[in-house]
Amino acid sequence: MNEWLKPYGSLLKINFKNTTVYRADMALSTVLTLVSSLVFILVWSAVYYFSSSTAINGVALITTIAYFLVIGAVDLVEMSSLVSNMQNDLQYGNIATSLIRPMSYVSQLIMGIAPDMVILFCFGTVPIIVLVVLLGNFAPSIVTVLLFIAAILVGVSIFNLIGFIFGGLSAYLTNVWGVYSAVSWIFAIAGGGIAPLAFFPHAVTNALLLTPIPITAYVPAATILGMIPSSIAIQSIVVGLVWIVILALIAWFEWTKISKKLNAVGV
Amino acid sequence: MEDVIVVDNVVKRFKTYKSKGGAAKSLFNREKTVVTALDKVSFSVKQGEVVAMLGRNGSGKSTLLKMLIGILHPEEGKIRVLGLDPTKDRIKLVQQVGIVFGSTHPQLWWDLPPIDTFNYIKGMYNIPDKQFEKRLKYFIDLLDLKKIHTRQTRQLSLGERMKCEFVAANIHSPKIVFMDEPTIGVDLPSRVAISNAILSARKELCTTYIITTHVVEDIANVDRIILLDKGKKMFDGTQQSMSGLFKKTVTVELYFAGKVEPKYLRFGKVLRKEDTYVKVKVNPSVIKQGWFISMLHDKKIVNYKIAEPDLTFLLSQMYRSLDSSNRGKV
Amino acid sequence: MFEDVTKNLRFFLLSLKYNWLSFLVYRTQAFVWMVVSTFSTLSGLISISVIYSISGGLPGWSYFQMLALVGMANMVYSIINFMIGPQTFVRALRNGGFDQALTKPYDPIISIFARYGTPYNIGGIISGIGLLAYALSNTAVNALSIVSSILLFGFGAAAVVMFLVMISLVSYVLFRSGNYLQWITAITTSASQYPLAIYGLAGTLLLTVGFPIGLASFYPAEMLFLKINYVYFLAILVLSVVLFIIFYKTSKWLLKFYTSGGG
Repeated sequence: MNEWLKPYGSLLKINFKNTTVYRADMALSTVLTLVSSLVFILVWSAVYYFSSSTAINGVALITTIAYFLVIGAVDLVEMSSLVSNMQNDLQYGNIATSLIRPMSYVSQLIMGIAPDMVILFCFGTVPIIVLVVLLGNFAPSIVTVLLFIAAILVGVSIFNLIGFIFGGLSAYLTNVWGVYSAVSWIFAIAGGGIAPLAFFPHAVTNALLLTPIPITAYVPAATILGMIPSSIAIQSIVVGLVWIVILALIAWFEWTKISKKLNAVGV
Repeated sequence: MEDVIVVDNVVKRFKTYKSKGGAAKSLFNREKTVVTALDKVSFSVKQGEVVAMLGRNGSGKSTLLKMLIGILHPEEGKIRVLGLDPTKDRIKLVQQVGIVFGSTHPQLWWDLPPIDTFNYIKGMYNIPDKQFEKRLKYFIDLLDLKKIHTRQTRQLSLGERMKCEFVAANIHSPKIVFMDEPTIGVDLPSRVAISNAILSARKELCTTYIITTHVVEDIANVDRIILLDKGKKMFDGTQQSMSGLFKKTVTVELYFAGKVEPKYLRFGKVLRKEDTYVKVKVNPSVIKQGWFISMLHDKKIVNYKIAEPDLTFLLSQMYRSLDSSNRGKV
Repeated sequence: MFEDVTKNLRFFLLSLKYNWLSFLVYRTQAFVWMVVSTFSTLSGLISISVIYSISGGLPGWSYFQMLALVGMANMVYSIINFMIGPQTFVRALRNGGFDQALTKPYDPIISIFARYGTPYNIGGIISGIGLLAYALSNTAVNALSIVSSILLFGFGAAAVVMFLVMISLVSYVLFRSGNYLQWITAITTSASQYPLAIYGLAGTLLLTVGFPIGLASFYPAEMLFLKINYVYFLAILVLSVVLFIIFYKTSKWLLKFYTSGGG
């Protein structure tokens, strides 16, 4: 078992080292995600300040502030370089260096993105959320915390499955980055990145909750902050799991087709 | 002929970082070091010369080339190219020079055919229409690019792309063309074509060529070789003067009708031996000896070849001597 | 200021032509990218619409005035990316790709614009203009304020673009990396879609002098709706010009630290 795991361990270690080469970069990326949240916090603080009530659509200012911080923290762990990695591999022939290793290509992809996610989760996401929960006097129950973790895991899986599917499209299209960017924008807008979905019309919110979009940002944040009841959180997680199955099937089907085209110089 | 390039005691250093531990440690702990890329290098080049700059990886060839163009600046010393200081007058200088960076930093637009890049260069250097057409035809015929220059660059082979890069660097009538390892990974026919194109352009257009390379075949026809090692100039001269540095030898190859007999192994140092073939290194005086000439007429010897040491051999001797005894400048 | 302005402008336009030719080789991809570049404007429109649908909005700014500000901010963002992709530029500095730019007989700053801009951001510029036009059709503005606003926008955008060049070079010299620069641009654009007063004095100064995107979005919008007087207008104009000169000169100086790359 150890012998089988060794190559993966070595690959993970070197990917970790590679990720830490530009360390100022990593630190700045983390800080900037928070600064991005700060913009929305200040905007909405001004909106609340000049509105006639202390809550808008039932959401208090402190909750809105906490929401944008948590969204930023969750965003950190959902940024994935799968699309660009796969494009480099499939289109430009870098896959040769992966195919000569004694491990599956998909595992290598996961080892490639794991260091980024782990570092950012440990040094970014967790501290920020702990701080927000403590300073905001939010008192999530254990069930809420577990639902939050489940929602994040589902969201990360969905994001990376979509990344894999679009990355795989590199085998057929010249440049998938444009289309993927469009999808990322849609997720940012419809996933609660610019305003909590509670501020959208109910019909829009209800429709969005049937898609895989809100679970990637809005649902985890709203769950830990008590903006949505546990039932909605559970419902969203279940919907997310269904979407994971659908996306995994699409990814598997796509990969089966691509594997047949693969050679050491790409596709 | 006037000097078009003058390099006088040029020094260049780079700062770099060394990791002092594993993945986590290197996050916090790095050591700064200074590398001397060029150490008091001096030489000059005349108009119309074809000069090859050789050296191992990290010897400073590319650094020196980039300083001649004005991309990098010397910390000490002086450089003049066409009478201009590349650091201060870069724009004036690059108007009169061409550069080929090899496949690492191509000039050709990837998604467009090379002819579009040539037209772009025409606009950039304000080349008059007639002059452009004439030069384009000259280079297309010289390098046999008729079926190539209208195809998308990304569809061309490396050899075809490098030939087009050569045209792109020469089409605006530069006085000097700098080529930084232009034939790495390029096939033999394309390398030969580029080499011949350099000689032709030098003869017809009096262009000066400075080429950095590892490929020995690229420098077969150059006027001069400058050898750099660890930032220092170790040799500056012709191929003939390089061979004069080492004990003169010639190689004799003998092809036999039957098995090689022991007596044919005693007249020099055996470099290679097979059943019906032997290659021997001998002192040049041996081949003028009567007994040697008689031996060659032996019926057992069906064919023979006598040659001076080639450039590969000379260079390997050169590197060996640099490694073993810190010989200093020659 | 630029060595031979006409010569460099001609070179820039020539390079723009070939950038477009190269970009349009893949038409579907080109179309997709141009559509994607409008999403920033769309995001701003949705954000403002949500705010004004559930609250009284931001004081002193009507819904359509805010849309005009969003349009301007996104125009600036798209112009910045049209002229220079900071990430691509820093990557080229790091791997030696910038060598090619230095082998051309033109101002190296112009060579940066010629090589590292992204043509598809024209989509963002057009969407910004569209949103601005829609907003203006629902508000009252006069010709003089429009002209003054355009002047402020032009000089402000020039200052911001030059700032990006400078900060990319600073990032290269200090960190040998620039992956975060796109983020900074996006964040400051996002911030500049709203009245600077909500960020306090520090935020206002940051977005006026620190990362001067306010010079090309907020102040031109204020001028458009006569929220500032003409003395203020002149002061902002002079500030834009001064900052442009400082950023340009600093960028030229920073180019001395370029160490190329590779063999």
